Amino acid sequence: MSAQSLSISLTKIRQQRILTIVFLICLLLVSIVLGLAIGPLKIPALNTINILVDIFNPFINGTHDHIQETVISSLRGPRVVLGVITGAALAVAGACFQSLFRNPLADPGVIGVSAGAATAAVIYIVLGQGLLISLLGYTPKFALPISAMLGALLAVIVLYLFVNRKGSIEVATLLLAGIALNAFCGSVTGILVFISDDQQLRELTFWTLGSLARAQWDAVVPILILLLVVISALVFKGNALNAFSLGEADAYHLGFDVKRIKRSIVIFGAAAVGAAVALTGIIGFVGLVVPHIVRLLIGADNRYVLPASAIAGGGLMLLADMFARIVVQPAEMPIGVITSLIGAPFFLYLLSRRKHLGLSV
Amino acid sequence: MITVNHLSYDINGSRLLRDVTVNFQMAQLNVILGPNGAGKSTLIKAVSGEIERIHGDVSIAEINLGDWNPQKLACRRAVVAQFNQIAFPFTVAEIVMMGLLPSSVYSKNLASENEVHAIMEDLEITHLSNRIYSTLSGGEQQRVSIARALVQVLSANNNNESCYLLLDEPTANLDLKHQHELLRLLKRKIQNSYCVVMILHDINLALQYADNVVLMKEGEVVETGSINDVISENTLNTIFSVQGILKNVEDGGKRFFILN
Repeated sequence: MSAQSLSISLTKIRQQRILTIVFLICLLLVSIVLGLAIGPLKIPALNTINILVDIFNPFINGTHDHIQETVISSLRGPRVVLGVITGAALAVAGACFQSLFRNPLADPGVIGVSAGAATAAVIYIVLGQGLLISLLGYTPKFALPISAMLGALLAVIVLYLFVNRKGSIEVATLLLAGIALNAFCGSVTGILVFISDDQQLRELTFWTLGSLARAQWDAVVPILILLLVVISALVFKGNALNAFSLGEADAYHLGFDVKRIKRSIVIFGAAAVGAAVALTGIIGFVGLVVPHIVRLLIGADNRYVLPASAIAGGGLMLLADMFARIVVQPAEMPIGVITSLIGAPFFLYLLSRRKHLGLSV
Repeated sequence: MITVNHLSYDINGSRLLRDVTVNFQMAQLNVILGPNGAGKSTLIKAVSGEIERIHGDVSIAEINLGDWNPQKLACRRAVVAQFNQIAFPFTVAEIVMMGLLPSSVYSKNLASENEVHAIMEDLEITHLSNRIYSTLSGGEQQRVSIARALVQVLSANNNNESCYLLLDEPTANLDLKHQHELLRLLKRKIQNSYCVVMILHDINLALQYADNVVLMKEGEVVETGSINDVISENTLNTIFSVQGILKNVEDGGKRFFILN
């Protein structure tokens, strides 16, 4: 191979990756339109696009079916936005945790971070809410999502402290720690089920199975803005996470401030998972499946993996939600059921190929 | 130059390094020799800054290790660890290009892709550039890691700054040909203000290529100096607890060591 051809092959790979990302963006746009069009009231795709254009462009004032417009702007619209952003958050957080723990199996659900967030949310609903009312006389607006984020943060810190030995992390240890964390959070939730009332009980189902059905603009928008901030903070950590993939010592030798990067990944990753769980409950395996498919498409370079995971995560979440809405119409299946149905076998498949992935379990 | 002054390091009550004082000179191949558990890798880790809480001083280019800006240091000091597992499907070219990360922040004239290519050529890994790193053999992986280290200090070396390579058993997985090619490559490199510190287990490789040796045992430096002054039959036998003889190669002035 001549010196020129290294340059040429690098440029070619770069172009292929950018093309793949463009393709993923197109897929995302298609699933957004489908997500808005499909439902008990079927809206033709063309109408959907017209209504969308109308909403975003104040200068064109087309005449549309009023019901269709309302369905899109206040029912399916928030749901689609919620799906895109939480899907992106879970996928990016998954990709970041995988590089941080140097473990392609580190999904926020599998390692217990989502459970930490959900348990903290449940503790708040069953115990914290009453406590705050008796102390302050009211419940602060964002107490629930903040509890979820703190729960996620606590879970990541516990994992890191237990699993990290001399800068190297064993795959098996991480998964076993995840089992322990999930079991612990499960029993805490179980205890709370006994002391909760009917209304609270219904909420608990939402937390453990996950759903996008709670989408309403006013409740969701502030947390979505937070998620956008967190996602953009994580998406640009590609270089640092590439260095981390070589190992903590190597990242240090390459001049990276290992402690600071670790801290920011842990905090932002936990915030992403916590906020996503606060909005949708536990939706498992998105953080596992999406980064892995993305790596199959464009390779391991995190400068591309992270943005591509964000885009693909949003798309996958929408497709899963569409499925959840259609399968048992007019009722709705919890979306977490569907992502786990796809994700769990996928996880086993990855486990069976662990040698090939360079894992020593 | 790298200077190590009265360096000690304990972990969990056992002393891994005991009052180590040693200099690694520029333009020389410095080889650390010693039996398993002598503290060779620990010394490399202390010099690279990887382990903290050491007692004593380490300075690189007359600047104390703690006073270095980490990124600037990374432009001039590269480390090759014993083995490296990567759990993600990075290609060889991607791994080697990661060597450019520190200088991409700090250097105005970044090393060109042609120069990177030349280094890959030197280590005979160009034909592997699109292969996934984790599918390579141990020796191939080692050559990729060495290439990344050489790329890391490339731009600083282009600016005539002194550069430092710390290699922990770089020949461990290499075949006979590549062992010698690597050492010859490093011999050539050190002419241009490089300082190479490496751990070797093969005494005969050291006898053939090293300029300076540091003999270690039980966390201490037993002897240090130029290879011809330090290495004798007696010292080798004592340090490695073996019975061997040191022979002269006919014409060439080199020596080799064989066990009885």
